[in-house]
Amino acid sequence: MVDKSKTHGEREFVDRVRRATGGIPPPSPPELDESVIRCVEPGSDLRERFVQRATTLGVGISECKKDELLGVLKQSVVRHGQAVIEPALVERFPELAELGRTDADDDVLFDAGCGITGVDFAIAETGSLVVSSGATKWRQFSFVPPVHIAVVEATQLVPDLLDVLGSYASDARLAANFVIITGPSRTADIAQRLVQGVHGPIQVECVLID
Amino acid sequence: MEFANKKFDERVRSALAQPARQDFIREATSMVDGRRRSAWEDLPDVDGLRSLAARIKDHTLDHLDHYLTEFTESLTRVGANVHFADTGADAVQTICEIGRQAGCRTVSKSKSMVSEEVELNQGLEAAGLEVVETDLGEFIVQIEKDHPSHIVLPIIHKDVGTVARAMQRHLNIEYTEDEKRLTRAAREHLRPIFRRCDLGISGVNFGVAETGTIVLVMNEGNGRFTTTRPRVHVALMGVEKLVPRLKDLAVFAKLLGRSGTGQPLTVYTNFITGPRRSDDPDGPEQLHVVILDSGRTRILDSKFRESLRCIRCGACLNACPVYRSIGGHAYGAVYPGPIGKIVTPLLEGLPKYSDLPQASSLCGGCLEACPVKIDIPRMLVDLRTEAIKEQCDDRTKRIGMQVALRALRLPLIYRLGQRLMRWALGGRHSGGWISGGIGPIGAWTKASRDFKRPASRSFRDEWRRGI
Repeated sequence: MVDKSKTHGEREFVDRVRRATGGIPPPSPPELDESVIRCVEPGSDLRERFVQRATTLGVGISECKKDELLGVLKQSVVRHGQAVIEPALVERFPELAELGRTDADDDVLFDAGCGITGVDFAIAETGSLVVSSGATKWRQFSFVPPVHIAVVEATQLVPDLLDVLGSYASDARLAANFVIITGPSRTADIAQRLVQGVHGPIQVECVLID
Repeated sequence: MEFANKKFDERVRSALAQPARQDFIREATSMVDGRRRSAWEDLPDVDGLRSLAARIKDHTLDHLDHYLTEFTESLTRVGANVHFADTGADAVQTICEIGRQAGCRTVSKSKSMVSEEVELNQGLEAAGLEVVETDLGEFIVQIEKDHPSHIVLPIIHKDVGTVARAMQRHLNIEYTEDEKRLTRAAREHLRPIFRRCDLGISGVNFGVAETGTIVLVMNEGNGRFTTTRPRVHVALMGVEKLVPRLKDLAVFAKLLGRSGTGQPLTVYTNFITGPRRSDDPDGPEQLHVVILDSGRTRILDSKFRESLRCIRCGACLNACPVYRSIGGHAYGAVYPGPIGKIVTPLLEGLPKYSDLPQASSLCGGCLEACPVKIDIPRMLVDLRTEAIKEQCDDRTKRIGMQVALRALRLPLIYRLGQRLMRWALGGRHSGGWISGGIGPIGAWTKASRDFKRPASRSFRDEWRRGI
């Protein structure tokens, strides 16, 4: 839209920055020394660490076998009300289709009791869930309903944040959005008192399958 | 900003005259500072990580022209629109124009210090847009027509009663001091806004040059609404926010959450690479990234370059004995605390803010708390030097300093001067503090220094007598 007229502004802006830096071509950026960054080594007990960290954050964890998944999720939907469920997850586990709508207008979305999604990764270091956008992945399913239920397969567990970013960095085409979710939404703005559940989910549940 | 009209020492005096507020600011900052310390401990090598973060930032700043060009190309490749704003006013104008062209009416805004810096809300409202701050703290700031007093804890200066009364008035709810019920009330109030907003405005914590990704960290989830629901998302960022690689975020995300609030990671670390793809079911149709200079290239070209490493975690505020005593508003600036004492004079002009670098005991607490090891005390001293140089036309000060220089070089004169000083100041005190003095000394002790009454005998005298 306004791009054509902006090219002049861009050149002036970059020139000003170049005058300030001297415009020397950069050597490669500092090496990322894993020994100071990595908190969790590959090969350690990822499941135990993930469960412990996620629980500390207030994430409800249940563990089950693949063929028990539908039953476990059904109970959650009964508890939390009407579900919306990510199409990508239904592609993976077709039996989940009966749990709720896979597409949603605003009325359905804002009235839903829970949103069920898969994840790209789960991080043992911090108990985080990593979700991304895509043709069969709604961003809103993980943050508009008051409860977010994430299905995590054992193979999706990674040790450290470093591993997640390393994996995305080698993607030829990044998703328009990926989000590292570390617990239910929270605030301590009022008198530094911690409250769980602000605008994002009030509760996060995670179903770990073998 | 309206509170900048008063002089610094008047603002400090009125802050100090509110002991109850002082108490809870001190309590809150000590608590958050303690959380930072314990969160740092579970890193394998916090000192090494901080040094690495500083090196990455320095490298990026030293070659900022290169990374800016790469970032711009990457953004364009992923379908984002890039805008360059030389000044704050340019940024406001650009964003209003984007909103006008897209026919937007309602703005959901997530917390952004740079938007405070350019006074974006006033501009948007003047352009006829409805602007809603959706971060809980900023929402309360907005309904109270107040200013944030901390970089990450905007209403640290308000006790729960003040918040409760504000929400009772504005949301028409029953008075309650239950923080959970207040938070739920805000959630219910803002849901319809999230549903109908058509312009989302956010800041940017990091911009990744290699991928054109903007990274936003937050806790409440309003940022996810802001960057997903509206048709148009505008992200406003200072040009210094760049890092070279996606993997660099492993370093910064681990430090930012821990240093800001003591969390190993904030609840949402949000990576946005362009607007929604053609087959995505949701996400904004347009993404605009507005890159702001507004004095930053001037800082880049000075000995204060390392101040641009700042990742705005607020740790130096919590660690600072001055901030803990006077709170954020006394600084009279958007960025308070130790880092504010550096960037405010640099961005807004030293003559107007020459008092700020003086308001420090140079204890070094800020440097110790800084996740990117910004040497704030060194820069405070450098800024004091520059401020003095600019004041060299002040004749009294110059003569006074020259007299002092001579006296300090000659022991005899020095001793004589000491005796004279004791005599001159001895009678004018109240409660052990000097209450006045002759000529310029009077102005000095009254206006800018709390001066103890001199002891009746000097250290030298005592020494000679054998203590």
